[in-house]
Parts: sequence; C-alpha cells; structure tokens
Amino acid sequence: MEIERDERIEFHELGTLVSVTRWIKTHDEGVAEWLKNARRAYQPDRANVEEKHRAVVILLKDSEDDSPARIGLLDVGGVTLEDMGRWSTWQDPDAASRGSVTKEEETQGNGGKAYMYKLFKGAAYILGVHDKKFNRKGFEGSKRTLERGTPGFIPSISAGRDLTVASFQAELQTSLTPYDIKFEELPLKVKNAIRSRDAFTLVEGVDPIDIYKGRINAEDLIQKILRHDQATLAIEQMEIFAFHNGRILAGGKPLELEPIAPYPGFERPIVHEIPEELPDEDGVMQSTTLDGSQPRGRVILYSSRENMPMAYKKLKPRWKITYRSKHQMIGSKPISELVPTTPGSYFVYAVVELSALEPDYVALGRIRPNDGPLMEAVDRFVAEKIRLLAKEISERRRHEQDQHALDEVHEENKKLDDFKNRFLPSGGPTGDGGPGDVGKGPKEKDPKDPPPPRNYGEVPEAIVLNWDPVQTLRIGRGVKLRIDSILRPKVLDRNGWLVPRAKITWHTDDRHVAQIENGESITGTDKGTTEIWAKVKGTSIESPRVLVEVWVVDHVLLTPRSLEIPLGLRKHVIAEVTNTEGYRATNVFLNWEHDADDSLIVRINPSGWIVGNRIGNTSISAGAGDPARGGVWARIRAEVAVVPNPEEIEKGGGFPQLLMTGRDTDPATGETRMGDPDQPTLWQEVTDYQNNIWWLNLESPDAGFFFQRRSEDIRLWRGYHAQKTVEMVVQVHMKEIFTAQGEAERPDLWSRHKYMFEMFQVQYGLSMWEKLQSYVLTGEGLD
Amino acid sequence: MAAKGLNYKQQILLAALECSGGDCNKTFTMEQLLVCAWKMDKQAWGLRGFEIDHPDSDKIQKEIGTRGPGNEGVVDMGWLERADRRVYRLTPAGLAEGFNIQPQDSIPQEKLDRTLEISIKGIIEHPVFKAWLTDPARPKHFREAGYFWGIAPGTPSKTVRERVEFVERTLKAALKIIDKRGIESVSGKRGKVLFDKKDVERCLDFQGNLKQRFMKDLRLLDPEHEY
Repeated sequence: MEIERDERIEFHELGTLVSVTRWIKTHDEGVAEWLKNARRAYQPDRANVEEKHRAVVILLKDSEDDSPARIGLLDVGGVTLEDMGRWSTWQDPDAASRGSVTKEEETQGNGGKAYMYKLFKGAAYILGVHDKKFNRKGFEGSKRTLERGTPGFIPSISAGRDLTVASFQAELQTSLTPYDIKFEELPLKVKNAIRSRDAFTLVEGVDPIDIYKGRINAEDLIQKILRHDQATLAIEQMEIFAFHNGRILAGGKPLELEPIAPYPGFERPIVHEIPEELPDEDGVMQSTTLDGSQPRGRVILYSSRENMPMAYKKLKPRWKITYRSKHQMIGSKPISELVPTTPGSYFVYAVVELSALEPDYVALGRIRPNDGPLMEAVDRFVAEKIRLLAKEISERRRHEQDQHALDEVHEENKKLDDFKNRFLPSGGPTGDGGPGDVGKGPKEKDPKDPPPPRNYGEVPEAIVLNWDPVQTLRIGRGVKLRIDSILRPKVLDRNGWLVPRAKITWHTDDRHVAQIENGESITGTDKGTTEIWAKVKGTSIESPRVLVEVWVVDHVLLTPRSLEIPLGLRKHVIAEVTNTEGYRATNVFLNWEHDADDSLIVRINPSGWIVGNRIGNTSISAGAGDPARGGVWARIRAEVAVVPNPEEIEKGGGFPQLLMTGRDTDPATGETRMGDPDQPTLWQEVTDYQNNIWWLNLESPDAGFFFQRRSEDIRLWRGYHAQKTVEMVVQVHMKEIFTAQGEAERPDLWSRHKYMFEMFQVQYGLSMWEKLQSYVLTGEGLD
Repeated sequence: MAAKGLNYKQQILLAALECSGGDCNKTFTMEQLLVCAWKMDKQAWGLRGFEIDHPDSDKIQKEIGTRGPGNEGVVDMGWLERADRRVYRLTPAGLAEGFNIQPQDSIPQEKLDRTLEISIKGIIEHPVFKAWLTDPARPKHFREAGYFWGIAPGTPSKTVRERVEFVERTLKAALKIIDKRGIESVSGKRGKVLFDKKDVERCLDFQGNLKQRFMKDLRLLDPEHEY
C-alpha cells in the first residue's frame, strides 16, 4: 500500500517529557542513576579511567540560611563538549555508549536527566573540566515545564561552553565550596585521580524536593542508594565516598553494602543453571537462550540469618529477586511475589542472571523487568528453587524435640489449661465450642442461656462412642487416622459423668487388617474386616466394638472440582472411592492433602470438610497409601480458593483451651497440629478462633529455647510456660473488652490498650502468680 | 482444510470448526456455514450450473436438518446445536469428531481437551450427580433428573432428545479420545489431569441409570424416540 508520510514524526513535547520522567520518584533512584552513568563514563571506550583512579564522591548538603540544600556527584572522568551534546538529547539509548561496539551496562538515555528535571526545584546541571576546557549545561525553570526540560548552557553559551580555564583545581574548589568541602579534604584516591587526569565532572541539583526542612537524612539516603539495583555494578567497580555538610561519612572509607549474614548451614550461595527451555504459565516452552543466540543463565540463591521482611530497614529492601542481563541490572521483584506464604522464604534472596531478558524485558527505569512469557517461565523456575531452599531452612528451624519431655509438658499444659479457667470470663466449663455442621462455623449458643455446670466423675465405668454401632468404619489401605477424632470416645462414671483424666487406648482384633499405633492411630494394613475397641488404661473397661473394613482403593473421584470458601467457613468435598472389587462408596476414610506452600491455608478433616483458614489458593487431593508403592490418590484434584468473608467469624463457645503443638489434636483436621517457627508462641488461626483454641507453639524461637533447657532447669521452663498461660488469660480479657461492642468496635488509642493491658496484667497476673509460684518451684499446687 | 474425500456431513463439521474457531460457545449462521463449506469444496456445495460462483443453501439445509429415520442431519447427530433460527453452535461431541476427522488441522488438541474437561466437570459437579454418589437411590423424582438434563414437562420432544443425548454424546466423545490415545487420563500441557477414563465411565453409569430410572417419563415427553 502506498503512503505519503508527514515530514517528521511528531510528539507532544511536554507530554513526552512527563511520560519519560514519570518513573523516577526518589533521590536514591536518581543518585543510583548518576552512579551508573559515572561507571559507564569510566570505561575504555569513553573517559578510559584507570582502575586505580575509579572513584566517585556523593556530596550532600543541608539547607542553611538562604542557601538551599543540594545533592551532587563528583567523578574523575571530565565531561567534554561532545559529552554535553549527547547528554542534551532526551531518550538517546546511545548517549552512554556513543555508538561504541563494546557491550556494556546500558544507560537509559534519560535516567540522570529525569532525576535532574523532576526532583529539584532549583537548577540541576552537569559541569566539568577536561583538557582545560570547562563546560556547564543543565536544567533550570519551574517544575514540570517544557522550559525546565530544555537543556542549556549555564549561565550562557559564552560563559558555559568550552571555556578555556587556567586551573581545573580552582574550578573544582569553586564547585565544592557550597558543600563546605575543600579540595584537600577529598579522599586521597579521588585527589590523585583528578590531579593525574586534570579532569573532573560534577553533576548536581539545587533544592531537592521532598526533603523535609532541607535536612537530608544522609545515612538513610546512602543506604538506600547502595541497596538500589542500578547501583550494584557501580559499587562493585568503583570506590564510592560520601560527604554530608562537609564531613566525610563512613570514617572516610569507601561505602559498602552491608553484608548479609547467611543462615547457618547455608553459608554458600546456591547456583542453579537455568535450563535452555522452560514452560511458561500456559505450559508453552520458552527458550531461555533466544534459541541458542545467548548464553544460558543461572539463578543464585542466598540465605540470610535474620528474617528479612522483619528487619524492616536493613533487610526488607533486599528481600528480593534481582534480575540481571549480561550488561545491566534490569530490576527486581519481592520474594513474596514469587513464593507468597512459603515458610522459610523469609530467609532467602536471589539473583537471576539471564542474557535473554535483554532487550525485551528491560523497562524504562529498570525498576522491575517487563512481564511476558519468558519472564513467567523464569519466575516459575526461580520460585521452585526458592521453595526448595525455603523448605530446607524451615525444616532446619524445627527443633528436634525430646518425645518424653513433650509428653511431660503435655501433662503440665493440661494442668495449666484447667487452672487458667478460674481467671477467665464465665463460659461453659467444657470448652466444647466447635464448628457446626451446616458450614456456618460454630454451634449457635444463646448467650443468655449458658450451659449448666457439668459434674465430673473420678472412677471410670464405661466408654461410649459417638458412632452408630451398626455402621462399619471403612478405611482405605495405607490410610492412617487418629481414631479419637472419628469415634469420639468418652469415659463416663457410673452416674454418667465425664471422667476427664481417664486415658484410653485402642485395640484391634487383627493387626493384619487394621493396625493400632501408639494406642491412638489406626492404619488400614490390608483388605479385610476386623474389629477395634477402646479400653480405659489400667482397667478392663472396654467400649463397644466397631467393625472396620479396609478397602484397597482403585479409584477416587472428587467433586466438586473447584470451590470457593469464604474465610472461616467450610465446604464439603465428596470423595467417591471405588475399590479393586468394583464396589463404590463415599464414606471411606482417606488421607487428604493439599499442595500450597502454606499448609494453613485450609484445614481438612478426614471426612473431606475443608475450612478456609487463610486467604489463598490450593488444590486438594484424597487417597490412600504412598503412590510410589501402589497407593492410589484422586487423579483430578479439587481447586480451592479461600476468599475474604464479609461476615463476622463467630467464636466457639466455652472456655478457651490452651493446647500444645506436637501433641494435641487440631479439631479442624483430626490430626496433631505441628508447631511453626514463624508463628507466635501463643498462636491462634481462624479455625482455632472458631474452635476457641490457643496453641502453645513449641516451635517458636522463645518456646524452643526454654523447652530445650527444660532438662537442665525445669523451673526455668515452668516459669516460662506459666507466664505464657498468664499472657493468654490477659489476651482473652483484652479481646472481650475490645470486641464487646461487636460491629461498633472502634480503633482505639495505644494509651488505652496499654492501660487495659497493664490493668489486666496486674489484676490477673497477681492472683494467678500466687498459685503459679509454687507450681514453678515444685510442679504442684494447681489442683 | 482439505474437504475432499469426506462425506457431506463431515465437510459441514469442518466448516463449523472453521466458523467457530473450535469454540463451542461461538455461534454462526447457516449462511456462514454454507459459504465456508462451499469455499472448501465448490463442486459439492455450489449452485447447479454455477458451482464456481454461487453456493447453494438448499444443499446445506438438507444436511443439517432431519430427513426422516436413518437419515439424520448433523444436529441430530449431536455435532451441532441449534442456538436460534438458522443459527448454530458446535457441540463438544462435534469438536471431538472434527478432531477425529482431521487431527492435524486447525483445532488444537489442547482446546478440545479443555472443552471436554469443562463439560465433564459440569456433570461431575452437578448437585444431582453428587447426590447420586452419596445415595445411589437418588434421584427419586423426575424433576431432579430433569434438572440435570435441563428438561421439564412441556419441553418440546426434540429438545428433550437433544439435551439427553447431549450428555451422552459428550461423554462418549471423551471416552473415544481416551481410548484412541491409549491412555487412562487426559492431561493439559502442565501435567494437570483434565479428565479421567474412570470418571467419564462413572458419569456414563449415572446417565444410563438415570435414563433407565426415568424411561417412562422420557417416553411421555418424547414418544418417538427409543431411550
């Protein structure tokens, strides 16, 4: 098709200017761009600065009297008239390279300029001396105007363009005076370089915006600059010094990025080579070498001893994946974006080096790489590697706990749990709040009609099961379950009163069909039927027998296959099991699992009820046995999305219970709740709130510390355990007070929180500790 | 698409694939279908004497609609579904059949698999199917079965037949694909299982069971068809 074109392409000048400078927002971003430009200018194809002379100085000056604040960068390159010419063009990608064939870190053609245009109220310019020629060119004018964005020689062509100067040192001193710095005070390396080269460049801006009262928070700014992705190569290849108000920072030493202490056991970086092809989100294979035209890349994983997002100032900004192509940094993404809610990921950061990301994935500003299929594919690969390392770290953080000591602490915890009820608001004495059966959370209770006090028995007489005796308990071969959570046995005395202290154990008639482990779990061992029953430990009292049928599972069909669960609510997934004989049923107990990194997104009980516990997505499967050894699981999983719940989540009734991780059964799953080092010691999830449970999380760092010293000094442990119980009581009271108004609850002042907290601490702490003292010292005195 | 060597119905199916792009939700007019088929084989679909210049709408009408027992049109065969007057859409069974006719052609296998996955998922997640899984005595009333099939007393007999057969044809198409590929389940590109032979067979069990159980009601609604 023919076309008669306009003579030239037209852009709206101001609109374009605003657009190309929009990305820059902070001074650390701007100075990082300056550093990047200086590093590039030192290369052999430009100023050719010798290795020993490669240094720069960041200059910072607060406002004083009538003199505004200013920010500058001094380098030893020496800007020339030709440089000025190239610098004057906006968005010139060859500005830094001058068309050189040498492949180097690319500059943007507007990085430093955008900063000078946008983040200073006063003049911002670049000046320098090279071969005794002085040049000064820059911006001046009102914010966001075309005038400001049009560069010019300062103060005029005759006084700012290619002037011959007698002494470069005199010119430099004139430029340094507003910073209260004398030439002699510059670091030796810088002085030597300038003297040797007879050249320097100063890029500076006057009256920076967003600086409160003209006072520059120098330490903070320097740290941010050093952490910036665009400054990475500059830090590696140049010595960077800094002055603030005439005083040299860091004791006159070159600035360095603070080293991150690695996680013990993971001291060395872990390097993974990126495969030549990777699948993207749609499963389409993407070449990571641009079909062999670029070298293969790699992912380097580093560990941190400290939890990075928790160290808000120092480590959180570095908790990221930095992307680097062959010649430049192209931005970063937070680790949490690739592996949200993965335990252990707080201790990992990464660098991706991949040449194929250039040029398609390089975005203006280099703050974050562009999205696209290759980036998706690489991110999937990186996420998988981070997950593996995070998992290893997370497992290492779990304490190896002594099982016998755990049993003892479990008993102690029961005592403390009973004891604390004396100090809690009135409620049923059974702590029996729990989820209802209509998918709407806990059972409804009339607050005006509290349950009558319950009597407890001492001498066991019978065991009753919450199970229809004519019903067969069907279980898949290889499935392991806690029997209590299914048959829910109760030991009663002759008056029908509950005997809470009675211990029961489970027994089987044929361990070749169903095996009992530790007296509490049942495992379907082979096809067939048998009977199981409970016995009160140390007595001959037995429960009715329950017929158990073990099925060899051939197929599992799950329905629905996708479901959305509002937080705190539950939905049922039906698992229809077909056994090897072709019989089918939906009441066969299976093991359930889901594949989210965060194991607490949903809680699943053995009957397939799924409770939404945290916002997120996962996919669920059910089955029996180890698939590697002939076990069968549903081939098609159920996709679950836990979504926010606009309705208030109801709390379970009765006294809140203090349970212990690693020992007690989570009523939401029927399984033992395992501890988590990333959760607090007094731990309560949404499902726990509904069940009115608090967990003593023995995996938390403090609980783990005291627990491990328990054998050396049991009083130390008891004191800690008792104090946590007191804290729980205080928190329960606090919660009652602050949420008593229901939906009318208002945000409150810290002073009121503090007052209430201290009041409850005094009120309950005093009375609780009267009894707890003797418990801590002797282990007795709570009955 | 090469239409030579195919019978007229198969040619229409390929034309429908072309018109819909393999999307079972996309509708197309009979005229679009005709022009598409004519472009593939002008001799077959052209106006007598003017085959090269003009398509013949009579020819396509004959192949789409019913022409008496033993001479079913592509709608009766369950390959196309009537969306409106002279407006049609492809069915999952039609999509699968199209893939069988010309597997190397423009319908990506992934698209076919996903379409069947959605249809099977719709059956497996249906409340009536779920109720049957937990209690094989259900559904006890025709209204529940009708809810599953999308029919009720008063539904025209032709629609009753189409809707009941739709379920069966979709499932059989899925089964045919599984058998043809010699696998137990069909997976997407990322390894996610989309549908599984045993699940499809289970759905067919259900369909058969339902038809058996409510044969009388179906015959009342559609006396001419043998269920």
